[in-house]
Amino acid sequence: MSALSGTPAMNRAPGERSLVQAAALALLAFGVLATAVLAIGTGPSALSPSRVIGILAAGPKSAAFPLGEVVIVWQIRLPRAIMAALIGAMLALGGAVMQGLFRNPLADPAILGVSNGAALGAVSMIVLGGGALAPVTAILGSYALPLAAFAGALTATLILYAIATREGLTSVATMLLAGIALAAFAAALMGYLAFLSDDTQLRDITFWNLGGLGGVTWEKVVISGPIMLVVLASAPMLARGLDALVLGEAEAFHMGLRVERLKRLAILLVAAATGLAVAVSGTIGFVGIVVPHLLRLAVGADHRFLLPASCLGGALLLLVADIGARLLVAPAELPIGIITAAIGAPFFLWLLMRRRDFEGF
Amino acid sequence: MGLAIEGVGVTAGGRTILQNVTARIAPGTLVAVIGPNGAGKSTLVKAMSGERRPAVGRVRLHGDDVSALAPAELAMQRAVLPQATSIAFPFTVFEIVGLGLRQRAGVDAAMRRLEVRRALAAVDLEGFGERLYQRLSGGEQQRVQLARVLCQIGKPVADDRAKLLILDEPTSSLDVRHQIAVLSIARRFADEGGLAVAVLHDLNLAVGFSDRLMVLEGGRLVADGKPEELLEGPMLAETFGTRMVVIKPPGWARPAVLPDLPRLDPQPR
Ligand SMILES: Nc1ncnc2c1ncn2[C@@H]1O[C@H](COP(=O)(O)OP(=O)(O)OP(=O)(O)O)[C@@H](O)[C@H]1O
Ligand SMILES: [Mg+2]
Repeated sequence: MSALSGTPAMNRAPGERSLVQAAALALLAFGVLATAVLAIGTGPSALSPSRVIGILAAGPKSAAFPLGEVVIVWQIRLPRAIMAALIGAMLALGGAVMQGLFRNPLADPAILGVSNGAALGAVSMIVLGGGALAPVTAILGSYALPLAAFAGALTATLILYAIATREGLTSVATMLLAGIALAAFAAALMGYLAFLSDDTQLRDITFWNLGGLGGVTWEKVVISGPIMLVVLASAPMLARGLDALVLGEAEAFHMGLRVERLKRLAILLVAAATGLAVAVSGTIGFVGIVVPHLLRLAVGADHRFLLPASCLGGALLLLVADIGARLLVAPAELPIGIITAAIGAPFFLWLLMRRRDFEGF
Repeated sequence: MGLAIEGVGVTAGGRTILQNVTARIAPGTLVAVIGPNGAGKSTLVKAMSGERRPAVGRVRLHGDDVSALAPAELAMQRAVLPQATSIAFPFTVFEIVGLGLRQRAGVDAAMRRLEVRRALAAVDLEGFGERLYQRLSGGEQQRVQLARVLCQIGKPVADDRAKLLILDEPTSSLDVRHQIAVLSIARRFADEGGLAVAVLHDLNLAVGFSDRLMVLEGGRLVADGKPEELLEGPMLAETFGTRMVVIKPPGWARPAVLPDLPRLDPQPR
């Protein structure tokens, strides 16, 4: 076959997008690193990118730079940038996996009440952690909050899946309506908890509702970071299954997949990604829907590409949003959730308007 | 050996939708499953494919109970073209067809391209690789799915075991030329030693291509035999509730069936 010889690029079959996708991944990875450097340079005392790189390269104990700058970079802004990137990755990954699970590009943890479920878990822990839930706090320590958020997210995802999906078929209308109801119900319970709470607790709760990276320290990175990395590392396991699921549950089974196992794993991953993100930064909306959708349109829907690319794209978006959050009202700081909602909500509306392109369900 | 359907019964929503179906299909056979809407044809092929576990009886492929096999193992021995497939994400034709190869071990990139190209050529869709699946016509989408299924099944026989190809209404959206092309693929699959089962509504295609007809009605297997033999009695006309004329055009290998159409002459005013 003469067409099979020649350069690798010429060998590429039409419609095969693996080279473009590899290039996109490389570009996104570079973008994340570059934006992280910019984010570390942004703030009340601005630092040039080359200075940031110099300070990072010199290490946390270096005397080559003024102590103030070393502390700002290493103790304050680096953990914050790492957390922003990890949370962005969690949010976008949660969205991409949820869309694959529901076989629908509109499924998103923040829109369908999963984030609110996680926030409810977290708020319960804040308000009741010293009282009714004290034994839990005693055993789990710093892990109590992320675990409570995970439990809340898992409950919400399971309820949503059970309601919206019958015999392998998802109804978009039911999914959206059930999501709205779930979000409202979780918000109502949070309101009730807020009513029970004291002043300090109330301030913490407000923080969950807007989403922010203000309080990120190395301690938080050390608690949540490793679990987030485990979630990231386990995502590729789902890629092949989610690709098969695109055709439908029966088809996925015909192609050799254990469908029930796949769905359970996907639900766990959505809950873990959302719960972990919410536990650190409160609810941040729209990353999970914007990032995967843009990537699908631009470079392809194959989950072996989409999942890692969404992680990188989410990290990039959240780093950019965090820079915006600190620049727009400097020296004060906007909750980052306001920025992502301001970008994401109009985008979501645009998405709904052009939905006639897609197959109706 | 082959496919053994042993006293299969299926219930859904408290209703019996398939009752006591027994049949044996030998390698090298193309079976057409026919019957009115709602007769249980899709249900029967779902039981054959292992997708639907029968309430009673079982289906064995070369001796193994298909509902007991691991999905991955089953996927190497049988492939299924479903009645309809819609997707919500922008996949290219190449990517969809390539999904069929994911289960097969040891398929490298060059081989994948070759197999996808072959499968697309087989369904007359050369040059469609980079089109988005969602933007194709209904018949084109159906042929893309068939190409994916062909990629999954590969050769009709491996390790002396015939593979099972199940097609649920593979010609429902196709024009006449492609109906013939698609059933010729199924015919060749059987001729090369595979087991092929196709649910069909077009009696002429069923009679013309298959070695055997299985006729379902109300969840029961009401007839099972060679097409020419089944055409002789009034059985088909009774099953479908319409009168039919069987003709044998000179030079044709098999008879053709014409349903008796209502008179459409203009009514006197
Ligand atoms: N999950 C289910 N629950 C309840 N009833 C079902 C279910 N699946 C199928 N049925 C019913 O069982 C009967 C047989 O369905 P099946 O899909 O096998 O018919 P078919 O012969 O393939 O029809 P068609 O020619 O229209 O494709 C139908 O009356 C259908 O309504
Ligand atoms: Mg059917």
